Amino acid sequence: MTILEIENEGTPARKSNARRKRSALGDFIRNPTFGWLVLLALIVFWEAFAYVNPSPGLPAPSKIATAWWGEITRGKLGFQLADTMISMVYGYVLSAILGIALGVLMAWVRVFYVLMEPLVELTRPIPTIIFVPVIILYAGLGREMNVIAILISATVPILIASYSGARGVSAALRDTAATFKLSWWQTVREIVIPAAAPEIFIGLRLALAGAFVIAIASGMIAGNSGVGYYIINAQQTLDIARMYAGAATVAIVGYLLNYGFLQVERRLLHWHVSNDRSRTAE
Amino acid sequence: MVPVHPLETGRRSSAPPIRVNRLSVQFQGKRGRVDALTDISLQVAGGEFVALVGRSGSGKSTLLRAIGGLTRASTGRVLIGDEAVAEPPPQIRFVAQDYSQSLLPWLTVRENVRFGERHAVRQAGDGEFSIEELIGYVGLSHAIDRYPRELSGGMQQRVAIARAIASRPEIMLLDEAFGSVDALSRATLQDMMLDLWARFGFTAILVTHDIDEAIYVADRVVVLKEDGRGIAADVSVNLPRPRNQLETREHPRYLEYRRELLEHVLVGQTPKKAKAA
Repeated sequence: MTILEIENEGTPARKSNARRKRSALGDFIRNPTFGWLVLLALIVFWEAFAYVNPSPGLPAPSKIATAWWGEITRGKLGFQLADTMISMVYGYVLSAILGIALGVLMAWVRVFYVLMEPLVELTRPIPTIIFVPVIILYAGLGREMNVIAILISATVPILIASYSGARGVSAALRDTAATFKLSWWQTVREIVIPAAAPEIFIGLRLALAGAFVIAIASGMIAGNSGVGYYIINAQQTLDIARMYAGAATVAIVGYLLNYGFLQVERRLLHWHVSNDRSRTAE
Repeated sequence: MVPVHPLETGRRSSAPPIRVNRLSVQFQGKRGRVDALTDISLQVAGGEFVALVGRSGSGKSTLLRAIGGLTRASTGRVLIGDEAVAEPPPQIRFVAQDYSQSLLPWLTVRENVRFGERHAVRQAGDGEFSIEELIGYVGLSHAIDRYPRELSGGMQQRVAIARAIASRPEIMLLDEAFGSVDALSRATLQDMMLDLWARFGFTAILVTHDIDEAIYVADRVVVLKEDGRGIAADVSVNLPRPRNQLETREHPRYLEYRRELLEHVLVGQTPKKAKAA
């Protein structure tokens, strides 16, 4: 850019506009589509590579997709996925109830805080997966084992978020509850839980991701059932296409869980500032 | 300023008297004990409109919170009727300055007002106003299904007032309730409150640092001394009602009251600072 051009173009805003216009490539690599296109290119490359160098160790994406469809519709994958999801639902729902209840109680009843705090502080940094052998010892290899593992992993983040949210209820809202003569239970239900909801949802979302990991990993370690078991079994029998089909399933379901969660959150917390799309006033 | 509306006219007051007997409130501050209020005595009759004024730190908000049971008396006590206040008394509702904090942001205007009705001092009688009429009365029919964050400050404060009215209080405590809105909204809120007060016969105590506002709304203006060390003045405001933003504020006695009260507020303050300067 010459001095003459700068003089002609005047304001900095116009300069940057002009620069953007010149660099179509710069625009392109800033577009979200670019990332997806790169991913697509990698898959195409993989497909081509596997076609040129056929090997049982690295099946082509098309083979994996075929194997996946067959396994989902006729094979064991659909069944094992359902198994994992049932454990997820039990474990996650229970930990949501338990985590919110204990978190709110910790925030509002001193004794609960004193009792729970050491336990939470000790449990928090431990990866839940190391509990799995212990749980197998006492709960066996049934669904109970997977559910308990999920319960342990998911309860802690929900509890911590609920505690923090319930602690953070503003003095003004507590005054409102007091002057409108709400009972303890009414205060919890009508003030504390809604006010803490944005924070509780952060915990719920963290817990959802963690619970999914544990649901799969516990089955993988224990070798009892679920998608984790399916993947490890495919790997051990050298059915590599099936192994990748299992892994792809985990990725897709994980994505869908998060997407679904965000939809629910947006619907329930639409009143919250973080979901604000139009600030209006009189 | 208020047009014809469906709100029923209430009877003149059945509200219990408020007696503050030698009330002191101390807080435990970082640098030791802070005396917020010292030996305050005050009586408010049922149905009266009293304004509490004083400089910042005169303890006027603390006094209001003590009457409302939100702040504990260190010594002395507050009586509502014959009941000593230990926790928020059932017949009292607050309207705070900080409307953005006290409304429930997850509820719409309608639901916020309904919250007030659900937790009412007494159940609604036959033929009383409905939630929708009340919201219409405070001029928010068009915003009835909106959320608090979608409203301006003045509108939010009107929701807070409607919510308090919906629970049919006998005593309304207003802590700088018209303080954080623009001047025009402020005048509207003052007139709205005066009209509601006349209709429903509740007792109103307004804390404000604005002498003009105090004279405009109140039957009595009570001036607190600096640091809550007592009452500097207790002035009855003898101006005709209903009051009017134009005529009342031009009334000759209005100006006399204004001068008298300003003298109390200004003179009552701070020999310390005078020395320092």
